[in-house]
Amino acid sequence: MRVEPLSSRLRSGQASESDVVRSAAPGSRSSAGAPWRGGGASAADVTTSRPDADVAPGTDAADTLEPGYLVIVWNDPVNLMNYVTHVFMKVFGWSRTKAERHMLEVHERGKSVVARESLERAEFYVHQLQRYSLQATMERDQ
Amino acid sequence: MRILRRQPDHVVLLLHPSEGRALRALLKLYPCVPPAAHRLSRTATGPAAAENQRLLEEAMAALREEHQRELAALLADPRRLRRTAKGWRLRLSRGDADRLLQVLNDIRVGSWIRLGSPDFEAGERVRLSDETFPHLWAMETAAEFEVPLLTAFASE
Repeated sequence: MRVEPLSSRLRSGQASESDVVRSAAPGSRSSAGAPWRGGGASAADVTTSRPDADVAPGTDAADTLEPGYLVIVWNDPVNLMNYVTHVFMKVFGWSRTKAERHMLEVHERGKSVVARESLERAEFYVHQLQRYSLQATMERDQ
Repeated sequence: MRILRRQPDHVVLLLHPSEGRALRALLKLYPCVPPAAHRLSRTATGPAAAENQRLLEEAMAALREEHQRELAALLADPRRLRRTAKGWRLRLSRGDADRLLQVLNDIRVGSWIRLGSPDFEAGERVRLSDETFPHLWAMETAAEFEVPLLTAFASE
């Protein structure tokens, strides 16, 4: 059976606004607690709820809760294309069509922004993606 | 490896005897990806970033231990893996299959890292030698097992 690796490092890419995973609302937070200690929970297991108290902009708490972090998946020449599609479907609960679109963006543009989230949820997604050995990082949204 | 039966919650695969031997040899290599390969961010710096990086590495170490335990249980469970006249019959739940995919891909990516992370798309090639052959074998064999697993649940 022929398998095809992800490849071709081209220029940086950008996902469309509608394609990225978002929090339910600014200030939403995960009920799953610290992302690193969530065990085998999938992204679909994480629910969001509004915080009980207002959060002042610029505080550490605001940093944690506001969707100011991008989750980026980077290209590499080793992960199989259909494997990456599978991982996107599994982690984000996306349709095959949407997962393939992001996989191709990684393949053709070198990276894909797959979520714009709060610190906590961005960490959660990076953790989930790295379980599958994808090169995923979180970066501040400038 | 071929699919004998596919149900919404599980899949049954048949492995030729030589595939069964290859899979067992391959799984002994797990884990392959070095802990330092897991990076939380390419730009974040400072104590908070270092702490978050440490937590990520801890989480990955715990995951590897869990996978090793579950893998050992899978290989020792005759209800899931048993010898037949035609080879090995492997019955995997969705969870088992997903875990096996993670393990196989760790071996594939880890072997690629041990080869020096060659950029095949840029034309880099790995010279076959006593040193590189085991990693090349592991990288390619892992993919050979990943593909049927991905196919088995492709309709989800």
